[in-house]
Amino acid sequence: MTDTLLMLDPRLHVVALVMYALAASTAGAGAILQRPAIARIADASCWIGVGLHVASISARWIAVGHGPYVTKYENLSSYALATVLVGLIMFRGGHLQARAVQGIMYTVALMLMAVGLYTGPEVVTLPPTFSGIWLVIHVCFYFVAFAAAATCLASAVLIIRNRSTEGSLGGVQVDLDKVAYRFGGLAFAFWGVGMLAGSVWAYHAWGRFWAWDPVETWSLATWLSFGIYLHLRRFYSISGRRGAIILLLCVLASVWTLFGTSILTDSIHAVYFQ
Amino acid sequence: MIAVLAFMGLGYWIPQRGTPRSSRLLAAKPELAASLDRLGLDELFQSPVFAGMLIVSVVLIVTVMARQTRVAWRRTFRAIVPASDLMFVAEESPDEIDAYLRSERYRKARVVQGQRRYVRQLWGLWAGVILHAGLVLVILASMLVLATERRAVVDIAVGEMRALGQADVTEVGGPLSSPFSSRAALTVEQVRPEFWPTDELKQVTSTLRFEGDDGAVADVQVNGPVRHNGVTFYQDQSVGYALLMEVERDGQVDRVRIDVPWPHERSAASGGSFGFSSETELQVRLYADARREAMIAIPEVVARFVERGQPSKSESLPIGESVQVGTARVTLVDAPRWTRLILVQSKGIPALFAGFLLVVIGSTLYYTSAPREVYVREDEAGSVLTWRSLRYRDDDSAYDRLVSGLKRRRLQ
Repeated sequence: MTDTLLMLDPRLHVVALVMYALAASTAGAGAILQRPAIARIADASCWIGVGLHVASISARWIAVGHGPYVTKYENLSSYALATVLVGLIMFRGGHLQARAVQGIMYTVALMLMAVGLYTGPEVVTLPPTFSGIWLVIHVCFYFVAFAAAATCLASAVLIIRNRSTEGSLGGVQVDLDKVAYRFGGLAFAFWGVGMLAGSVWAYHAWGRFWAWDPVETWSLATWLSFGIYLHLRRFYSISGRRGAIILLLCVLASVWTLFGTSILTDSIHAVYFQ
Repeated sequence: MIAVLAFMGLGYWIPQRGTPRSSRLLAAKPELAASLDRLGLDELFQSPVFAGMLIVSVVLIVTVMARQTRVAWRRTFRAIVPASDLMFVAEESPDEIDAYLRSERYRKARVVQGQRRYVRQLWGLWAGVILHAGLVLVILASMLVLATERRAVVDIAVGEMRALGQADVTEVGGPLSSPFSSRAALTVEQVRPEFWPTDELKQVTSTLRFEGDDGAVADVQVNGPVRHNGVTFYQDQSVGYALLMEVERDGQVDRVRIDVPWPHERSAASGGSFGFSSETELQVRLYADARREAMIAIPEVVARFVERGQPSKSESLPIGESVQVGTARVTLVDAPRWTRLILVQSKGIPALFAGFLLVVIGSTLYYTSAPREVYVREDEAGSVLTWRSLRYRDDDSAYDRLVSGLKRRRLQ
């Protein structure tokens, strides 16, 4: 049974990746060609992909006995699922500009999954410190925070590309800057809670709530970056293209925090993610 | 925030003391490491400069909080009718508007300047105050923890009693920390590691007996600390066997202890050594199971002497027996399990977690509670509604939904 589930997991993953690729291309094509019918295919293929993805994660969870947050493969898969779900739910039934945002988010998700599959779906047992509710809260909030950051990335890219905060595709007026601001705030809030939950977990596991570990330092730096963006937006009205560039830097910081530090630095997370 | 971010960048770029990067720098460029130490650049986050930055941050946040509190108080209790572009003239009477607004979850507040005031999620006004109060508490509490924290790492074998505060227990602590009580002592009664079928460590549980008045017994696990008399005991993942040996050489008997970590797999050995001199060393290898079939079984110890670079034949050491190893007679007296415990005492952790909670509450309120208000006055045509969002001033969507809802209600 375990072997069957472990064999099923990567195969379902690949099919889900293909569905996300179809969703990304149809969402983007629909937005560029201004064809809502093409864009609606994105929803269907995405939901199929989500179903397969959830089945894949569930199969692996049952087989290995722990949640999808230990290996690079599992983490990248979880981040991808969160990103797709946020794109699918928050922009469902949306106008063409929303489709463009979805297209970028689905592309981010399938890239994460592709890298995850490349790293290999080997099974790793749960380390002794990886237990308790605080770890679960810690990772879940970071999954959602990353999904919000991916939304910010999509909005910022479109603002910079369109040289406008308003939808120039399909003639529908959408304020991308508002989307970026709201999701920047969501990323800030969820990132903060994830960071605090991680501190509580670290206190219970190692007796210290903060040690300026590279991933901790960068996590705080990312959170402060989003905070700076929100304050600049709120109090100095720095929005539009300038705001989008600042937001892109925040998203880059989040990507480095979540993926770069675990792989390239002597972080405590690197012990588990090598 | 930008200044703190820049300082953090500096602290990340310059290897900080106690990190692997710092150890590598010390090995590769000891002069540079010494310079960084003299300038205090290898302990930036414990420096008075960083503490000063945090204090300035606290002062600034408190200043902001004071303003936020004034604004929130005024809008909560002393509102005035705003000058807003979002006005709507409705055919309905103020009483009909009242019923509609209540159905939209607006709560009737007091009359302001002759107009009825309706509010929704007004508590959201206090989100910023709560969030920033949490940040202040977190910063101050973390400084208190840093100043008062005392930590010690103790390697202790089963049956061994160690007194806290004794000389061989290395302690590190902040400037306001007090040493561990020298009257406190503990004994490890059991060390129970657990392993996955793949031989990786699953859990370590140690049974501690606290010597003294109460003789309390408690189990401590990885991620399952125990608190006793103001000290929190954490179970480290390090576990192994403490090889207690008597080595007889040249008519002299030495009592030797070598702590060997648990092998990482059942077919492999872990190693340790004891140096008698620069030229003579006793080397040991430990297998978790003599038959190489399990991770928890009667261990096998193999020893050899290395004298002037020449290793002797390796010999197996059964517990309690005396074996000739090279030129020495070695007796493995006992092999109790050992483990590592981390001891921490500090002040301020409850305040720190309270600060975390306030930050979470503030963040949640900020993004789930967008406060809004509606002023209603009677007009000859019906009623005039003036709407305002108290957070996202550029968000008209809620106003649009309110107006369209009223129109739909009218049509029904």
